Parts: sequence; structure tokens; C-alpha cells
Amino acid sequence: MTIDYRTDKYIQNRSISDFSVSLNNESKRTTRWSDLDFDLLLMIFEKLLDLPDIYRCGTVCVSWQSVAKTILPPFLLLSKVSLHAEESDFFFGDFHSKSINSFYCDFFVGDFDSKSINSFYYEKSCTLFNIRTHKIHEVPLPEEEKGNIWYSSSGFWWLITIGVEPPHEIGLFNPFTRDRITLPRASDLLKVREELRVITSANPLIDPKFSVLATHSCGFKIAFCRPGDSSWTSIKGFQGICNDTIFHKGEFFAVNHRGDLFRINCGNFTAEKLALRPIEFPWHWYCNYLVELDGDLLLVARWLEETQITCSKTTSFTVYKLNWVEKGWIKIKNIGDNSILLGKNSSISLPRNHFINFEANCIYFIDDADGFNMTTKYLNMDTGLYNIVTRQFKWPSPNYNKETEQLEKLPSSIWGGPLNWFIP
Amino acid sequence: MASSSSSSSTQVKKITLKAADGKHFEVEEPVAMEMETVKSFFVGNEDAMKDMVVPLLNVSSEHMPAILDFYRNHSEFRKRTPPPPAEEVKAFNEAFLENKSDEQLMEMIMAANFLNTKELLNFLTEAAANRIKNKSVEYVRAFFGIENDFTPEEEARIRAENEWAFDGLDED
Repeated sequence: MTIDYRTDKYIQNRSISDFSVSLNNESKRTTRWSDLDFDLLLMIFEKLLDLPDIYRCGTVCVSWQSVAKTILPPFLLLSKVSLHAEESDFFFGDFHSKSINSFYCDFFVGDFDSKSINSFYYEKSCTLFNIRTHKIHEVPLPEEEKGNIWYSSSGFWWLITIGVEPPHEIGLFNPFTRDRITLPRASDLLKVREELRVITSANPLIDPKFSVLATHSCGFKIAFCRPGDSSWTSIKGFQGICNDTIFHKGEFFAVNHRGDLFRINCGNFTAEKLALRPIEFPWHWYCNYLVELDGDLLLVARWLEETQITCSKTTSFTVYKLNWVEKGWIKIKNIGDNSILLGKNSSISLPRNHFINFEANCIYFIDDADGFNMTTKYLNMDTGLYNIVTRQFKWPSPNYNKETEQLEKLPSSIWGGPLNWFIP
Repeated sequence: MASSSSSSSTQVKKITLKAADGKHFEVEEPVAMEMETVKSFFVGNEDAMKDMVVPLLNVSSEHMPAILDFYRNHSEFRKRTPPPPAEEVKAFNEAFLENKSDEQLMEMIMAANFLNTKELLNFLTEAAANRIKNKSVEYVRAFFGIENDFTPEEEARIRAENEWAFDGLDED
């Protein structure tokens, strides 16, 4: 996904009357702020970096509410997970250390019953880290769902909420607008507590006819639904392990572990392998991601190696651009003044100027390993940034490289648990 | 030919701008060309038309000196090697905004928008954003002169859902 933050695009999508603001008749001014063009209003809003400020502007009047929804900055979605007691103090200070610690005790002492899962996954709020202001926000989850869901990030600033117990109720929830959409239950997709990757074809707030593609975390199952469907429909014909999915130019695509690209036909629920020249991957351990950049489809291969202390460590990235004419992936060595955020449910490219202190031509990646399978001490070790041009890594985790200058750019507190991007 | 080019190098060409209230301002050409609106006025007729007076219909003469001062200083900042220290730019910007009322700020935003200069517009809209940061909804409404068109029930619901956004605000 690529989003164009230039205001004219927002304006194009809305009729001017949407933004009409009432004039204050009592004012004696000849010109008023409310006379401002809407693109000027948006320019002011976009300078508000802090979420509560944006929120309060959304409470000013009905038309501003719709404007405020479109200008949220990208976030990191933080999960509150198990940490060693001393680590949680180190990473978080007072930040939820109590719940983290209680989970840790339950989990590692071995008394691993449903109650201990509850203390972990039954969240009342989601924690968002604003990558522009470096502030952390606790946004409450809907009242009706408190106590039985866990959540992950989708796209367009929506969360996927998944019921912990069978039949695994699934929903999409927008924590900013409080909109909620119920999707078919996932009992036929999920057997136990597992990750589910869910992407939508459009922002459900803007296009109510959106469709949904869900991928099982193991990558063996892809399913499709539209809102109102009573169940998910399995997609047939996909081969291999699904590494990533994307909605690109009106269609869903999925990529497998070999870099084969499949087009998902939502009419007959099949995946059709595109006849592309295969990428010559050397024998290596890697993971593929799909990202849209300036209308092009990119494949980002993340090369991994096994290490003694962590599950995996990223050793390099290769970025390919799909050339539809020559029917092949072409290696690119420059993405210009853009950054790629690479994550589990949500990979995106953004113009660099959308960040503070972010660097051009860089891939910001997060540790994709499931925290549940690892000793927590090494969670998110494989989180950092990679410069495509210089091929240099920077590791913000204090555990990795204490000499890196990047340490201060993101606070150490965020590297304590599984992360995800929470993005447009 | 040689003499004319030497005289133009010592004497910077000036362009006359006419503010909304009719007042004329003589402005050095490079400064005037910071404004896209003025620049586009001359596109295709670079030399022939430079003696003309450029009307700026939406810019009050009250704000012209400050706006021109901004262009002069910022274009100098851009050209300077090494670049000026951040404190110097900051000090200029702060002095620029000092004693400017909310209303004057708004009028300058409209002027910058009309003149189509990205740098000034970005600077002024950021200044406006800074003035409503961490302020109550009531303050923001009063600042922009906007009437609340939510029903009391709607507003109460939105506030309840976003309660966390209303903590720790500055005094209005």
C-alpha cells in the first residue's frame, strides 16, 4: 500500500460540502478561520502530530470529524507480553509491568492454564506508539469485547480482533472511530490460538463493499469473505507457504516462500500462479513481503540466518519490482525518498517526510518471530533498519549494538514485546 | 551590451507588487520570484513584462512587509554556506510570530496560500497548529470561530469514547 499524503488527494476524495463549516454570526471579524479553504485546514491538522490533539479537533464539529480521521500518523502497535520482571522494569518502567509480570510468573512457572492466557491476551486496550511524537497511547478496546479478544493490526488503521475461545469470533475494529465490523467466525480456519493475517481491499469506512482476505499464520490456508457472509471461503490452488498478501490495483495477490506470485480470483475462489520468470533465490532461509510503491508492486526478500541466542537474525534484504511487460521481478537498488515499513500484517511504503528522523531508502523491519515460541529475553532482537543503498544495518535494540547512534530514535521501551505496524 | 550587463549586475532589478488595498511595494526580483503566483505571472514573458505592476488581490498591505522580510531572510538562510545554526533560524521565526494575533496569523495564511509559497505556508500552518495544541475543544472552536453542530448526545458519546484524549490539557 502506498498513501499519498498530499492534501489535494484527500480533497479529491471528498466533496467540498462535506467540509462546510458554520460561520459564527456574532463575530465582528470580516474574515474568519472558518473561511479557510479546506486544504489549508488540512495543512494545519497535519501539523498536529499528537493523537489527542487530532482527536479533539475531530470533536469540534461534524465536518472536522471526517477530516480528523484521515490524518493520523503511522503507529507501532505494541503488545503487552511476558518479560522477565527485571527486564520489564528496564524496558517499561511502570508501564504495565504488573500485568506483564503476573503473566510471566504464570507462564514460566509452568502453570499454563487458560487463566494465565487470560491475563495475557484478554486486553482492555491497545497500546500505540506514535512514531512521529514518540508518545505512547492507550486506546480502549470496545466494551463488549473486553475480556475475550486478542488483536493484531490490519491496514487503514484497523485492528483485527480475534476471540480467544472457539468459535473464534473475528471482527475489524477501528480504535479511532470506534467502528466495528463483524466477520465470519474463524473456527474452520483456526484450531488453537494462532495468528491470523487479515487484509481488506479498501478502508471499510470509505468503501462498504470491501472484501477480506485472511491467511493462516502457517501460510497453508487462504480464505476470503465479504461482510455479511456467514462463513469464510477457502481459496483453492495456492501452492507452498503463503508469506504475504496484498491488495494491489483492484486485485488480491499472494506470494509464497519461493517468490511465486498468485493472483486471487474472488469469483471462483482460486489462486492462479502468474507466469513470471522465477527469482533465482540461492539456498537460503528467507521470508517474502509484498509492498506497493508508487503504483508498482515490490517483493522484498528478507534473508535470515539462525543464531545461537535468537530464533533468527536478518542478514540482508533484496528488493524486486514487478515488471508486467517483461513478466519478471527486477532487482532494484534504490527506492528514492521513501521508507518501507515491513511487518507481519502490514507492510507499507511511505514518503520519508512523513516521519521525524526517519531515513530515506531504508527498510524499517520488525521481528516477525512469534513471541510465544521464544524466550522473552530475546524478543524483538531482529528489529531494526536496513539501508538499501549502503546495505548497512542499524539495530535500535540495546541488546544488539550499544554503539549505534540509532538507539535514541525509538525508545528502548518499545522493543519489549511483539510489534506490528499500525498504519494507513 | 557589455555595459548593460554590468549595470544590471550592480543594480538588482525590482518588480512592483500591488497589495489588495492599492499600496505599491518595490521588491527585488529574486525575492518576488519566491512567490509562485508572481513567478507564474511572468512565465513566457520573462523580460517584456517585468515593468508591469503585479496585482496581489488577496494580500493586505498590512502583511506585505513581514511576508517580504520572511522571504528575504529565508532565501538568505538557504544560500548561506555553511548553513545557519538552527538557533538563528528559530530566533527569526519566533520574532516573526511575536505579537501576531490569531486573526493576523489567519490572514497571513490566506495570503501565503494566494502567493503559493510552500515554505511560508508550512511555517504559518505549523504556527497555527502550535496555537491549538493541547487545548480544549471549546478553545479550538473559539479559535477558529466554529459552531458546534453535534447534538449534546453525540458529543457526550464521542467524549466518553475518547476520554483519554481530554486529560491534562493546558488552561485555555
